[in-house]
Amino acid sequence: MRKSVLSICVLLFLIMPLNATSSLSALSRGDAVLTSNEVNYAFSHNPAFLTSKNFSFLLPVNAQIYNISGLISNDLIANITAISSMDEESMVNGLLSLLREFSGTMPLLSMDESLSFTVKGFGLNLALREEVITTGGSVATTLSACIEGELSAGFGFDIPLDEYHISLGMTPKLLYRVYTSPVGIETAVDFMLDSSLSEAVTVYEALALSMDIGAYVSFPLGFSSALVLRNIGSDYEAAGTDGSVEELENPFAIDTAIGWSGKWSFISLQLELGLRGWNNIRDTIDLMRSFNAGMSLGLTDFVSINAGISGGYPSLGLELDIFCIDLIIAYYWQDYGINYGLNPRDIIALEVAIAFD
Amino acid sequence: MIKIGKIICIILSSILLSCSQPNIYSNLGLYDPIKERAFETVKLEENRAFNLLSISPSYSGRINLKYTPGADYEILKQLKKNDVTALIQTVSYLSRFGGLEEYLATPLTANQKTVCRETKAFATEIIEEVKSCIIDVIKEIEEYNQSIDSLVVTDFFDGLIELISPDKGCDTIEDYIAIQLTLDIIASSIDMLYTILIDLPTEATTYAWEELTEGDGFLSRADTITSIRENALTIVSILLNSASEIDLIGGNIPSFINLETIIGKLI
Repeated sequence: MRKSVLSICVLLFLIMPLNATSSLSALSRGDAVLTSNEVNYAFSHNPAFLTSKNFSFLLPVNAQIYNISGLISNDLIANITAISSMDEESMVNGLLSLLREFSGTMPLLSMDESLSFTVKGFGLNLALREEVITTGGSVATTLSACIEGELSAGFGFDIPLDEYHISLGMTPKLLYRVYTSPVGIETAVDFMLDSSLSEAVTVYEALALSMDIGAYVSFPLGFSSALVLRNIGSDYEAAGTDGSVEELENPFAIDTAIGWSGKWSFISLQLELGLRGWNNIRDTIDLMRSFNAGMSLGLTDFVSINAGISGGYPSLGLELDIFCIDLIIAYYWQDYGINYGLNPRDIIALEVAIAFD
Repeated sequence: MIKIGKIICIILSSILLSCSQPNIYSNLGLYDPIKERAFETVKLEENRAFNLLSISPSYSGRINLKYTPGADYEILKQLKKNDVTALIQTVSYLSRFGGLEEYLATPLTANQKTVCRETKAFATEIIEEVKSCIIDVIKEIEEYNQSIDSLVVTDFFDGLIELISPDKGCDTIEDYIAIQLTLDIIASSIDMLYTILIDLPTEATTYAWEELTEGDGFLSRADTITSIRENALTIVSILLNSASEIDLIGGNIPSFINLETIIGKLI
């Protein structure tokens, strides 16, 4: 068992430098970075940012734990001790106790890794995301595992004008997704103990093409605006090992934002108001979900405090930039309810990134 | 500028600390995620067959079971899977952010009380019959040394009948939730029967409920046993899935019965 755990750790360690998108900093700002003009968000938010630096290299790795306050209130340490005991019955009971704090389908844990670089408007990005998803609840709760990969190549260019500055960019993407059908806790524990996948588990695999197109316009006095067309491409299908097929959504969305930034000595401030997926807004609830706002307050060149609201939920983050190492800790809320607002859960996340630009 | 930074930090901290819950629109009183339940109903007519598929949506078009109710009933329409999850999340939301007791004590209207009472009577009738049918099946499994105890299953169904006992009344949302969850368990129990039946006929078929409960129709002993043995895991998992919903809500509503012990024995 220890060998298999060690093998997975080594594999993850090897994968990390090869793959991964710096999304955590954005999440801590209410996901409001469409007008930030930072190359870090060129592949995740606005392809027009490909032109913001002549050269950049970014390698972020982050981990996120979901429903953290629920997990802590339910004796997290005792449950983790039980799960790591390698005793089947204790592991099942520990997992069930831990998952009792969830209700509905949502992630339990996730990790993101990516590797991207840009040179004079051209860029390449490899991203990987691993996720454990639970249906939450009680005795019959299930778990499934999902790995998503994304390979993007992008190109951006500037159109300098007298008082304005326009940047345009596009990033075609190759998406790969592999995931398992939901399995009961006993099956999941069996897998943890001997790394063999039960025959009852169906593995789904999907491959698709998509593209993002973005525009960024900077105005005088620090004002800016952005327009991004996300997920240009159709929905796609995942084929299961049992011959079944599942439809996966790739919803086309139009995102817009206006922003303002200013800098005084070593203090800087970025503000943004945005509307994501406004082409899909049908009613007031959709509008609530779509609206986001964020700020980043740079206290020195090394420390920033981020805050924002996304879909009605707050987020906070602290960013430390020490030489080529960026460290971000974020705490934010997201909703996993069947109806909007019904199942808000908090998430804590940590990211370490190597960045040169 | 440092002062501006401090002021922004203080404002943000104050906003966060003053929030009773994370959704900003709910905090401002602009939005309430708790919606009134739909109370959709189904009319059953005496001596007319009622298709149990409207209770159990699985296997649609493959096998139909016709049930003839003994009296006129107007019953609650069973909630869809997402609606049951929404109900669980509603209880979970209120237990986290306050207001659960008031919500559960919300009185039903006179018409809703009548429908809930009739649903209880109908549900009790169905549970008794499903119980007798499944107990017969479980006894077959016992003979083949499968690890399911018919006494435990009897307790399980008796627990359901207790959950919707007329003594508990039909006055509040709490009673409504109890009935809806029981309907869900009934649907799962019927799914168990479908799981047993599905391999038996080769084409889409409609059966009368009596063919099952009387046990001397198409269900030959050998066929039934083969099907049960092939589908034993599915049968148990269907029951567990549904029972866990009651267990989950039961964790938030102390007066509900907790089925974990019974399910533990079933596993």
